[in-house]
Amino acid sequence: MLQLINIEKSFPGFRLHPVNLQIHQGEYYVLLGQSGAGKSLLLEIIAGITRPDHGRVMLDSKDISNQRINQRNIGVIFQDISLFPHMLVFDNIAYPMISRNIGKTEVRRRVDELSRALGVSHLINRKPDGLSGGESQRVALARVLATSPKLLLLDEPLTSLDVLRKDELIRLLKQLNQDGMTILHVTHEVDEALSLASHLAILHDGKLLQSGSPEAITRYPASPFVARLMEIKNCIEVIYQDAVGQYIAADNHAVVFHLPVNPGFRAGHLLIHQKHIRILEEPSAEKSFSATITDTSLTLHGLEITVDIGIPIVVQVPAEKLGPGKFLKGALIRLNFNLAQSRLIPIV
Amino acid sequence: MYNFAYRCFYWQYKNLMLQKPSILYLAAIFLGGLVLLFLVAPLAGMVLSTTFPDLLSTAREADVTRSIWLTVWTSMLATVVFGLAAIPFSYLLARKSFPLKNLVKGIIDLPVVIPHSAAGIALLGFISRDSLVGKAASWVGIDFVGNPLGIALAMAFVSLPFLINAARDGFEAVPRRLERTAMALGASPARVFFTIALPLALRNIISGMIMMFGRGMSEFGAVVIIAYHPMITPVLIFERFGTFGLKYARPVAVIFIIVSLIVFILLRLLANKQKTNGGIR
Repeated sequence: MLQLINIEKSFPGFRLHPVNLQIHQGEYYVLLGQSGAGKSLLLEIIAGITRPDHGRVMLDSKDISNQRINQRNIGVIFQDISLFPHMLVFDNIAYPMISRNIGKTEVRRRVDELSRALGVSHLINRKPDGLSGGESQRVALARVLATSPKLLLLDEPLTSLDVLRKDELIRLLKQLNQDGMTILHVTHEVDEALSLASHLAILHDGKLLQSGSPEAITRYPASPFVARLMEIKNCIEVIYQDAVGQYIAADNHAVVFHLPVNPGFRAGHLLIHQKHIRILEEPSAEKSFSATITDTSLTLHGLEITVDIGIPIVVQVPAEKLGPGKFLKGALIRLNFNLAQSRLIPIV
Repeated sequence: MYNFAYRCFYWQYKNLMLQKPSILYLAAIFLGGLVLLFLVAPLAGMVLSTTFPDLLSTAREADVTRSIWLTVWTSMLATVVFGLAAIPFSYLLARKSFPLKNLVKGIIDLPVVIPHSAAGIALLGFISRDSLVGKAASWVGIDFVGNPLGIALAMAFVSLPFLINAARDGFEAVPRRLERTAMALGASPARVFFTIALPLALRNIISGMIMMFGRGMSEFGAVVIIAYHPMITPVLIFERFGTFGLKYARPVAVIFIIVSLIVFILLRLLANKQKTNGGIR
């Protein structure tokens, strides 16, 4: 339904490289990237606030590049929500309908319906300045839905919310999407992106690095950057050594990786997820590495240890292996890499 | 009573001791007091040296009341008519950048710095019967010179900067993102102006209009050159001073100051009420 064709934009110090992307009807499209990647700029281009230097914006196969912002029928909620401070919540929600010359009774009916649907009907007679972040976000959603947009653009909608409100809003956004609203959501939070996206795209430094289903991107990141974004913590530069017939770490040639298959290129990045490294209880016949623990840190997924096998490696310790006095700094352990689960990306 | 006075004194004393007054602070208080005295003393002196019967009899003079009404309505007219033209212009100044914008801003401030008699002479050349504007006006039967309309023009000329600058500040303080949001919600630029920018800048605009109105009422230099007659109150005060002396000019001056103050306070109160009512709905 929405198509960006070779969208380009340059500013002093920043360049949006030709961006091509396509959003289908009913999709929940998440654009993930760090701050300064150009996400908000892309959103502004789609909304019609900023004009691209080159390229076209197509909505339902119609070129809308030259349409004014108020004629595009695309709903936007900016990061700062921007409720009108001098109007009651009622008038905020009614605003787009009054712009379209809809009759008073119909406006009242729609405001009532939308405010109920978004759980803000008790706030109707209040001014926006006393509302919480979550309430403001819901009012902004009600207001933008009043325009019956073809596409909804959300710029970091969850950033100002606490954890509980975040979950609430995520459920609400999912519901909206299930009810048929096509959504383009911009964020820098990986968790948020993965929990919402039906299609994920990664923007970095003005370039679209990878796009696909969230499962595909987490499993097959196309670059070390995407891998790091997907929280794959071991991204090891390796080179192929003919003498050994194996790949060795570029930083320490004594570290050899026995890959099950040989992809056949000279140098690459070996991506090993921290949870795909096994900690061995006792010496075994398997090919294993001896490792010294250099650091430990607690994460939401459990304990993570950094070990030295000649190069630094991060390992996630499974819950059943934990116990008092285990995995202390300086301790010696043995590791086995499940290299069948690893991925080698060529350096081009 | 004694106890209360003692406590007040002790409180002041304690505060002073605790704060350990710096020389700078004390000097600032002293100098500020002098400045305030300089502002208040002449006005207070004038009011105190005018007797109430004098005031009453002056207030009953037809010349005086007529001049006060004339002053009030001509200034009001100037503020409203030029306000209508100047407010959209202020919005333009706040929102758009264009070539020579700084020059335009400088031109707007010009009436504040040039002598008002000079402004009057310039304006007289512009609207007199021989000028293009004067000729055009006389075709429709208007002669600005010696006419309340001419007075309003002179008042507007010297007081417009106050409104334009205040309105521009007001519009600049309205976040652009609100206007962008309104546009994205389907509002036309005109609707954005009337429903977002104007209501949010209204306080500044009203305050600017009050300033413009007040400045217009007090104008003498430019008006006296365009129209000595009909007499606005500042000209009347000047005339009475020149013809009869200080004693006769004083009651008129006091009455005009009182009227100005009342109007000013009323307008301010009205503007504040507007704010607490929450503007438009």
